Amino acid sequence: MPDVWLLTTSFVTAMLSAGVSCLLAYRRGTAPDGSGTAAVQLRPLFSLSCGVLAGMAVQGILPAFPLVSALDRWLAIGLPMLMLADVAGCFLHQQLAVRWIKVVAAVAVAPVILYGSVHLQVMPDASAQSGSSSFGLLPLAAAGGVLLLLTLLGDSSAAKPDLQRTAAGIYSGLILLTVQVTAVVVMLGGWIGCGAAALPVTGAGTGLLLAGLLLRQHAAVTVVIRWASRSLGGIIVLGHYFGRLTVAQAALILAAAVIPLLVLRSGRGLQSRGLWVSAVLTLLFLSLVLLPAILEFQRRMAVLLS
Amino acid sequence: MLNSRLFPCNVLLLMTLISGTAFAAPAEEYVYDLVHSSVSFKARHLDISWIHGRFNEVDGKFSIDREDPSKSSFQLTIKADSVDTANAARDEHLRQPDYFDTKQFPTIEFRSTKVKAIDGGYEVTGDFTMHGVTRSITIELMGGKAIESRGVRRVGFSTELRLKRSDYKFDPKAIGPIGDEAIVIIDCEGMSQ
Repeated sequence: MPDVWLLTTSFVTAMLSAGVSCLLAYRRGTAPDGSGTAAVQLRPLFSLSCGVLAGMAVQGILPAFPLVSALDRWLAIGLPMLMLADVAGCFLHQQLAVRWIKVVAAVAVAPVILYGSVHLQVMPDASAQSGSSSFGLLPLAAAGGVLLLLTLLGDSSAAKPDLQRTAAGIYSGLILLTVQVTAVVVMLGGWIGCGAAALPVTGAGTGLLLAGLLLRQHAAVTVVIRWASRSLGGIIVLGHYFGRLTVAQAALILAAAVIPLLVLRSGRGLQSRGLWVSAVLTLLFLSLVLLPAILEFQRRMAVLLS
Repeated sequence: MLNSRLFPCNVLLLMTLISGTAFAAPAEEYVYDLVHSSVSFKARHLDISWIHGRFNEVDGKFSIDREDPSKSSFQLTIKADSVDTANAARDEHLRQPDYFDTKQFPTIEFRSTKVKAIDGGYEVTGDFTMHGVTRSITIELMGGKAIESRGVRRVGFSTELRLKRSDYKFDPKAIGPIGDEAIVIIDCEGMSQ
């Protein structure tokens, strides 16, 4: 069984670290909702990184070298690669170049995660009986597609500077909740390590979101939406291809995240019916994934892990 | 004249070569007989009892040189997905990345690098690969007696080895209730091809 106290401590540490570092980063006073220079845009990224690293340190999560497991490759190559693409975006002024860097980074994460696994090995095609072989193009395309979809949708949804503060908080909270529920479902399926590694991300995201809302810093909120979306993509791919996250569960989770992101992208505010409808749908989809996973866990796994 | 003088020498040389080839017994080649073999294991649970399991899909081949045992070789490939502890839920759990991570590491393999005859069997040193980590281990394969049964030549071996999961980079957090050390018991029969 996972150590609940350790996981809670990790979450709270990540939340406090990200929140406090965000408050400190903005202490000199930046105009509310100001975007401005690269230095200003980098502050929430720095705060998020602080929170994630602090949460990981509490759990003792450290990628093992050589990076033979998918989770290690995600943590040591995937996440830093996406972060570098984000940092590069802060310095480049050509939006097209920035977008392409992010597209390439998102797509490149798929082979990084699947590297060396049975999904990418050339296997004899038993059904064909002709000695032909099949390479894992479908897993590669599906994983790349999920990561790309959530990266681009997260970016375009977050780029709404006129978004009302409460609405931004609700949308960001929904995406963070989706990440957390996915992590719990992966844990309930039997892969405790993957779910546990997601906690620092959701903890840091929560801390950054609260600090961003408090300081009225839209940049901080957008970072939460962008990184919750990216993390969700990573956990879905890991959970499906290495854990026991089924296609149906993955589809429901994707729907739960995509709906609020699309409504957010449309730029509708707090008064919009879309916000509440998307919130209800997201919660509905998440409960459709979570409740059966809990029941299945209690039926089969709880006895084994006790 | 010259040819007739050389003839006895040539015959002698030829006979020597033929007899040399005939009397040096070739290495015996065997394949793993899944029906009459087992690769099982046991690990401590909460340090009070043992959990037993086995791998149902195993492949292997042995080459045994009775005259020069150092030329013998042993290979064993275990499909990690075939883990069976008589509980489907536990087996599913064991296949996940917290344990065997079978999507990343589908096989557990042993390839001998050095073989030496000992009393009652062979001392075999080789590369054991599990969970993406390869370590050199030495096992004592007891047995090696070959018999002919229904036209098939068979040889049998038994061994027991102790492995620490932490040596093979299993998630240390998952080691807790299940002991770090696992005892692997291999009883295998080989059939001549």
